[in-house]
Order: sequence, then C-alpha cells, then structure tokens
Amino acid sequence: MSDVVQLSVTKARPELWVSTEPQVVYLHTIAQMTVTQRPQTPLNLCLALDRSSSMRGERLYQVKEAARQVVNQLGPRDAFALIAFNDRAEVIVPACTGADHTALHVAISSLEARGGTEMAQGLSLGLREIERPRLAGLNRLILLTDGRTYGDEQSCIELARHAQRRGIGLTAFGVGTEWNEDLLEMIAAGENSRTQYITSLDAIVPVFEAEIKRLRDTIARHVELLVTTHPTVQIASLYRVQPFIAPLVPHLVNTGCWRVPLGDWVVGSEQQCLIELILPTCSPGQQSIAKLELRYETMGAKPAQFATDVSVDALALEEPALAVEPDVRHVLERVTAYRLQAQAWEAVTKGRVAEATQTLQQAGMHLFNAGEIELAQTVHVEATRLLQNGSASTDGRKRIKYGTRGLIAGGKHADL
Amino acid sequence: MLICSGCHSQQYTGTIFCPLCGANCLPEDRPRTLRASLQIEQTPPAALTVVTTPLSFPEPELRATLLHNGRPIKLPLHVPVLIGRADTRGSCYPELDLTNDGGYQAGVSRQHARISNTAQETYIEDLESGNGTFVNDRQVAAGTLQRLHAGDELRIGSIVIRIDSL
Repeated sequence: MSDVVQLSVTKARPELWVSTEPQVVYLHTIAQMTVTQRPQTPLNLCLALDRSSSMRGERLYQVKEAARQVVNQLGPRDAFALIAFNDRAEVIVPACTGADHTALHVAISSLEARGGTEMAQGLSLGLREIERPRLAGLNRLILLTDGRTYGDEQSCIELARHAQRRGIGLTAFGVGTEWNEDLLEMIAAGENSRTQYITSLDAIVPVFEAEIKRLRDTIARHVELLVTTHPTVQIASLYRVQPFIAPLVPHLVNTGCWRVPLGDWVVGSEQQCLIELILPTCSPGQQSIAKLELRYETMGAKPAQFATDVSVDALALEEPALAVEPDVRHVLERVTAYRLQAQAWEAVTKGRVAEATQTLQQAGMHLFNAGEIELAQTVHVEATRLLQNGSASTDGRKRIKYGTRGLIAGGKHADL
Repeated sequence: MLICSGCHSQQYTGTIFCPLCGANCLPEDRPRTLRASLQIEQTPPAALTVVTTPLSFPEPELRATLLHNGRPIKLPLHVPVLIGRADTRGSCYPELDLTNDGGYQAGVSRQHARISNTAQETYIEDLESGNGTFVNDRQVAAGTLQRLHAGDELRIGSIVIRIDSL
C-alpha cells in the first residue's frame, strides 16, 4: 500500500494590505491522500450499549440488529467485546478474538431493556475490556445511548480522556431526543473520537455498519498539523472543517510554532482546516506568512512516520484586491454558522435568551447564504421558539448542533 | 481597522465575518435580513425582528409539599428533576433527594422517578422503581409519561407529595 499526500493552502485573498495596523488572514488547508489499496485495519472493538428501560421495543431491536451486523463484519484478527449498561454495567461478551459468530449472536439476543442510565459504569467496564487484548490495530469503544445520565457526567469525561490518552478512540452515538448532546460532544472532543446523532431508528444499523467500515479504512493515526509563523503572528482561531466542523486546540511547541492534533485519517476523506491568523504589520513586497507541515503515522504491521510541508507567501500592496476566494468563503460561511450556533447555546445556558436568539438568527442567515435551506429553516423555527418560550426543542437543538458539524462532510475524494 | 455593521465592534482589516456577531464585513455585500433570506413573507415577522432590549422569561419551577412532614419543595424545571435517594458511591444525586425524609423506610428507589418539563407541559415518569410511582392513586407505568397538574398528589414509595404549582 503506497500513499501520496498532497497538502495545499488557499488564502481567502491573494494579497495582503501594506499596513502598520494588524490584519486578518484566513488560510484554508486541504490534505489529500491517494492510496492504491484499502488498509483493512484490524480492530479491537468494544460496544457499550445502553439498555435502560427507554430503549425498550423497536429501539433495542434495531440496536441488537446493528450489533449482529458488527459481529458479521468481524475478521479473525479482530477483537470484540460487548458491554450493556443501565444502572449497572455488565460484560455480555468478554474481549475475545475469533469467537464463534453464532455464540455472539445468542449473547446479543439476550439483551433486555430495564432500569435507568448510568453511562460512566458502561464506559468504565468497556474500557477495562478493550484494554485486555494487545493488538496492533485500532482500539475503539462505540457507545450508544438514548438517555440522560445523572450525576456521573464528570466521570464520563474523565474516563474518555483517560482512554484517549491511551490511544483508545471513542465513537458516541445518540439516538432519540433525550440524551445529553453536550456530554457526548465533550466525550468525543478528543482528537481520535467522534459523535453522531442517529436521527431515526431505521438509521441505527446503517450507521453502525458505516462506522465499522470507516474504522477499517483508517489509514493513518496521530495526524497533526504544525503551523510555524513569525513570533509576532497570532492564531485567532483554528477549526477543523473536514471530516467534520469542530474547534481545534493548538499546542505551543516553541515560539512561533504550534502543533495541532487531528487524530485518525480515513481513506477517502480529506483533512481540512481553517486557520485565522493576525499579522501585526506588513511592509510592501513579498511576505512570508507561515509554514505548514502535516505529520502522520501509517497503520499496519510496520507503522512509519511521514511528513509533508508547504510555505505560504503573499504580496503586500497598498490597494489589494478585495474579492474573497469562493472556496474559502464557502468554508468560512459554514464555520461561522457552526460557531454562531455554539455561541447561541452557550448564551442560553447563561440565561441570555435575547442574545441567543439573535445569534441563532445570524447563524440561520449564514446557512441560507450557504444554500443549506432545510437547516436554515430548522434554525429559524428554533430561534422563534427560543424567543417565545425561552428554550429550544431538544430535537431541534440536536439537529442544529449536529447539522452544522456536518456542513462540509464528504469531500471531492470521498469515493476511493 | 473596520467597524462591524452588525454589532459596531472594531475589527481587524481583512475580517470577512465578524467574530462577535457573525455579520458580513465585506464592503461589496449588502446586509440581508433573515426573514427575506428565508423567503418567509407571511409568518411570523414579529418574532424575527432584532431584539434590542433583553427579555426576561420566568424560569419554570415546581412547588410542592411533602405531606408527611410538611417540607416545602421548590425546584427549577429547566432541567429534568430526578426523584430518589442520594447514593454517593453510585454517583446518584437526585435533585429531589428523599433520604432525610425517611425515603429508605418508605421504599424510595435511588432513581425512582423523573419529572421533566417541555415548553408547555410537565410530566412524570417512573424509572422502574421497586415500589412504583402513583399520581392521584393511579400507578404510572414504567416508561410512560404522565402529565402533571397543580393539585396532583404523587406517591413515591409511600411518601406523598402534593404539587402546589407548576
């Protein structure tokens, strides 16, 4: 499996202002990997499934069916464990490799819904199981919940961070409308984790199948972007825009050099980021803005580290062209919508309803400008509800939060 | 520097969307309104006008009384209210903790019932408790939502709670 990585950078405007005042420069970075063969990464997988009483009926039926499909996709090199949790957590299938699929199906069929939801217990037991096998592949805990856990939120976050530090990624699925999206977002905030809203029961099985395929197609891990600039240049904001929109946290390596962890890399996806820099002053002529370097470690029996870099320069003029590069504007419009809705929910939690309403309306306007009409209308409905009732609907809030995260999902090279 | 047309804050030269309010700072783009942008001409314009003064909304709250000891209860309803007994080892901290009201002897489960509030209505749900949840002597089936009204009497185990107002 040979791979070729291309790292490209587009500036929002081709030129800079000659100025003694600070100016903003937006950089849109795209990293693409061309591979000749799918990686088929072995998996060390643990499912931690909510079986509280609210899962009863069609919901649990679909989740059990999804778990069976996961089992059907297991190969001889994969490890599998199954945890079910309500008020207590129970190991239904201890971590094992090459287990008989029929026996696993029987174990899955034994799941019954009852009791409350205490997610930390499920996470804790799941992580214990996933740490038992020692595999060269990808460690992943897939959590599914439909309920709001009480009193153990902080434990859940601490367990997730502990796992992420030890190289265990988390996928957190929420189904229904009662689960705590803020908590799942916090759990999945690690670089090698993700969260997804399963909006209908019919989608449970395909979402699980797609997740296993995505994990299997993981081609690199420990992906990170290094941003090196002049020490007087500041990073004003940094967002991942693909595979999904989310804020990124840069870590200062040394003066003028930041490291930005990006997590795993799946075949066919692009690593896209939006960097907002503040340049302090600018003299006439060609200026060096930044140097960007992408580092990653390939998966497989012999992991290897690679790096590729690109320099970003621009000409500073007294009267530069004002037009914004359409591709960068496309990204900026969507990232702004995501950022505004996040600001709106934060304002709601602080009781600033009027401010939240205005911010949400502004997010809706950006979504409309971006052509995301359906999501814009959902935002409009929730903004109205917020203004009239002081709160948004739980379903609407989730749709907006997860809808804006996925605004740039699926790149030009999504199909290998 | 430039002045944002939305929130009138000072922003750096080159800013495309204001980082504070999201307004478009490009000189060539004319500002648009949400109502026009969404092509909603008929309804509801009043709700979408820009709010310039902060509005205040009454926080939903539950007022009730424990009938056996007269303890008044006042709980905000902007988050669901768990009724039960605190269990520090199991990280269970109910908003309405009946431990000191004789909850254990009265058969109250740690996570007994949950009261939740939507925009308009308040509901109670039994969380598969050992001794059941009753509203006006009628048992609430586990997994179903029973609407609550002022004046209702809840029975949690054998503790009776009168809803004074919602």
